[in-house]
Amino acid sequence: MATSASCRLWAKVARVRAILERYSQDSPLSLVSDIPGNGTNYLPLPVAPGEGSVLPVFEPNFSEIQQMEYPILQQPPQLILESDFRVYITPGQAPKILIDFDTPGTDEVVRTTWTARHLRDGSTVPDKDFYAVTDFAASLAAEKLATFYVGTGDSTLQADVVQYRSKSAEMLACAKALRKRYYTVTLKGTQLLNPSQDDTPLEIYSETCQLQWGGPRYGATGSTECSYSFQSCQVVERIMVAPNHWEKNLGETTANTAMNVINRRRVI
Amino acid sequence: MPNAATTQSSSASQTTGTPIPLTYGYGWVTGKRHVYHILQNTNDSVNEYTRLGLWLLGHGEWDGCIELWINDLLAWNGGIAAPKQLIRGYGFNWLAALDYPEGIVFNFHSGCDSVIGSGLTTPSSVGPDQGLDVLWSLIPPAVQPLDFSRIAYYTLMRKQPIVAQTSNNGNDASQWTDIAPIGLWRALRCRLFDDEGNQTGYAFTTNPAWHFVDVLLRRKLMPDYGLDVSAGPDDLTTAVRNRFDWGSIFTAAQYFDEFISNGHRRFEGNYSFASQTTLQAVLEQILLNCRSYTTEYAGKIALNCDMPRPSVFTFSRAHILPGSWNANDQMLHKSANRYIANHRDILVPECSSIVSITCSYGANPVVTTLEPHPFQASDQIAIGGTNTTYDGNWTVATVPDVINPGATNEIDPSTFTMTTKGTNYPTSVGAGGAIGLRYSRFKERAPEFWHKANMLARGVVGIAHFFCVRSNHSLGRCALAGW
Repeated sequence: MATSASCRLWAKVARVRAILERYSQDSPLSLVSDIPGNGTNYLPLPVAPGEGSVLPVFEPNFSEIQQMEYPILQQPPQLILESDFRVYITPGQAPKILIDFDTPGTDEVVRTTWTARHLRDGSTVPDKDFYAVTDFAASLAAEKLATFYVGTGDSTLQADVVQYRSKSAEMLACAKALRKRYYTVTLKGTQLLNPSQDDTPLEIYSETCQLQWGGPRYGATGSTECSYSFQSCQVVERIMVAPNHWEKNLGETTANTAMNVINRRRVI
Repeated sequence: MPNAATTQSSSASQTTGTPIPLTYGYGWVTGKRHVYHILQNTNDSVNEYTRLGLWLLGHGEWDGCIELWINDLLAWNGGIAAPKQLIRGYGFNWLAALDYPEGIVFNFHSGCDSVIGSGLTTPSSVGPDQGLDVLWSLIPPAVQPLDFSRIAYYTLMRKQPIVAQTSNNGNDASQWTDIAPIGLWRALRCRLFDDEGNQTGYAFTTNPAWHFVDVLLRRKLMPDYGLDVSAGPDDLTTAVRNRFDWGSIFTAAQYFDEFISNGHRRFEGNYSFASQTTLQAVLEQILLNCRSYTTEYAGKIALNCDMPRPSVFTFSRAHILPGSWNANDQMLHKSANRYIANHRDILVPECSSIVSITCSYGANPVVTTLEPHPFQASDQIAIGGTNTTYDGNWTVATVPDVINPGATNEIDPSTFTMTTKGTNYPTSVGAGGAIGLRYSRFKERAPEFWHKANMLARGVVGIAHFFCVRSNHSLGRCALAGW
C-alpha cells in the first residue's frame, strides 16, 4: 500500500509548480532580447524571442535586467552602466525601462539580458540541473510521506505493534538529505603541492650523503648507483656528509671570554 | 661568546643528525662546529696553542660576513689590515684583527657546488669557492677533509690571548685560550625575477617574496640544480617556471620593497629555519612577515599581499548559497585583539641618549649622554638619529673614571670619547640621537599590540578584524637568527 501511494505522490509532486518556483528563484531563466528604440529614454519591457503562446515573460516583481548593450555590435561590447537604467513604473501604465542619457532611435535596438521564471512544463530547465530538480521533487515527495505517516495513530493492541513514528522521522530525514543534495554543489580540488607533509629543511648533517645519485648536484655520470657513503662515493668533492670527529680540548664552552658588562637595556 | 640574550642557541659542537639550516636575510650565527684543533708540540713558540676550527653555517649559497666577533669582542668587520698586527706563520692569508694584536685566518666558503675532479687532496682554497680549505693541512689526518659542497662554512685560526694577559709567552698555555666566534652574516642569495618569470638577478635579499619563491624551489619544485661559484644557479626549467604566477609575485615584491615613512622598507624578512619543521610552517613564517597569503589556482602558485583596500564590501545574494546565510551578533572582543609579537630586533638597541657631540679638529669626538652610560673603552658602538655624519659605527676611546665608586655619592660618567675616524665631522652637534652597543644586536623584543578601542565593537567575527589589527603596525621587521 505504502509503495503504490508513494509512487502516486512522486508522480503528482513532480508536476507541482512549487518545484519550478523554487528553481526559478535559485537559478532564474536568462534570456536575451533586442528592444527597439523609439527616440525617447523609455523603452518597453523585453519580450522573449521565439514563437508560440507559452513563452517566458518579464515580470517586474521577479525579473531583473542584468545587462543592456547599446549601441550593439561594438568590439568590445558597449554596455550601459547598471546605475543608468531601471524599471520605471507610472501609476496606471505598463512598466517601462528608463535609460539615463541615451535615447535609442527607431532604427536602433538595445540588446537586453534579463531574467524570467522557468516555464511550467519544465522545458527551460537546463540538462545540467536535471538531477538537482528531481532531487528537490523527491524531497517534496518524502515530506509528503512524512506528513502521511505522522497522522497514523498508535495501535490499541499490545502485540505486533508497528512503530509508525519512526517512519515519519525517516521520511523527514530522507527529505532533508534530498533537499541538501539540491542545494549542494560538490567541488573537488586537490592540492598539487601539500606543504604540510614536507619536512623542511630536508637535508641534515649526516654521515650518509644527502644528494640524489646522478642528479646535477652530485655530478656522477656512471651507470652504477652509489651507496651514499663516503666509501662508495664516486664524486667525493661533491659528497654531502658531516661525519663526527674527535675534538681535542673543550673549545667554545670554556673560552676565556671578555667580561665587559654589556647593558642590553632598551630605551623606550 | 654566543649569549642567550642575543642569540637563539643550540649546541654548536653537535654536527650530525640536525637539519642543515635555511637562513634568509641577516643572521647572527656561529654555526655548527665540525672540527676544532689546537696546535701543540710544534716546537715553535709563535704557533703553539693556536686554535683552528671549521663551522658549518647552512645551506648555500650565502653572501658573506659583515662582522666577526671572537670571545665577545669585534675581531673583524671587513676592514683592511692595520700595520701593528702580528702575522703568524704557515704562509696563510692572515687578516688584521680589531680586538688584539693577533692576526686571524678567516676563510669564508659561500656554499656553491665544489668543482668536480678537484679531489680532496690539495688544501688550497681560501674561499669563497667550495674548494678544500687551506687549514685542512693543519688538521690531523684522522679527520677526513671535505669540501662541504653546497654548505656555507667558514674556517678560523687564531692564537687567542686570554683576557688581561699577564705574559706574552707563546709557550705558556695559561695565556692562550679557545675561540668562540659569532658573526653577523648576509645569508642566502636568491633568484630574482621579473613579472614574466625571467630571472633578472641572483643576490642577497631581505625581500620575503624572493624567500618565498626560493624555499619552494629548494624544497619542492626544483631541489636538484647546479650552483656555480661564478655563473650562479641553473635557470628554472619551463615546467617549474610555469608553476608560479609571476605577476602576483613580482607585484608583491615591488610592494614589499617600497620605503615607508619611517625610512624602512615595507616588509623585510630575516629568519633562520634551523629546526626540523614542515614546508607549510616555513611558508607561514615568511608570509606572516610580509602580511601575505598564497593561493594555488590552475596549477600556479601566487603570492598575494594584503594591501590597503576599500573597507566597504557590497554583500549580495551572489555571495551565498540560497538558504545558507545566517546572521549573528557576537562581541568582537571574544576573538583576540591583543597580540604580543616575539622577535629579535635586527637593529642595535638604544641604551643612551645623546645630549651633545663636540670635536676639535683631528681630535677624538667627545660625546655627552643624558644619563650615565654603560660604555667602556674599546666598546664597539653605533650612533643613530643625529642626522649627521656621526651616524654610524664607532669605537669608544676613553671613559672618565667613576667618582667615589661604591659610595653613596658615586658619580658615573656621562661622557666618553670616540676614536677619531678623520676630520670630516661637525665640531658640534646638539641633543638628539642615541647610542647602542653593536654586540646587543638581535636582542629579543616582545612589543604588544592591543586595540582597546575595538573591544566593544559588535559584528560578525571574521578574519577582517584580524587584518584590521595588524594593518596598523609593522610586524614585518622580524629577526629570528642564530643558533
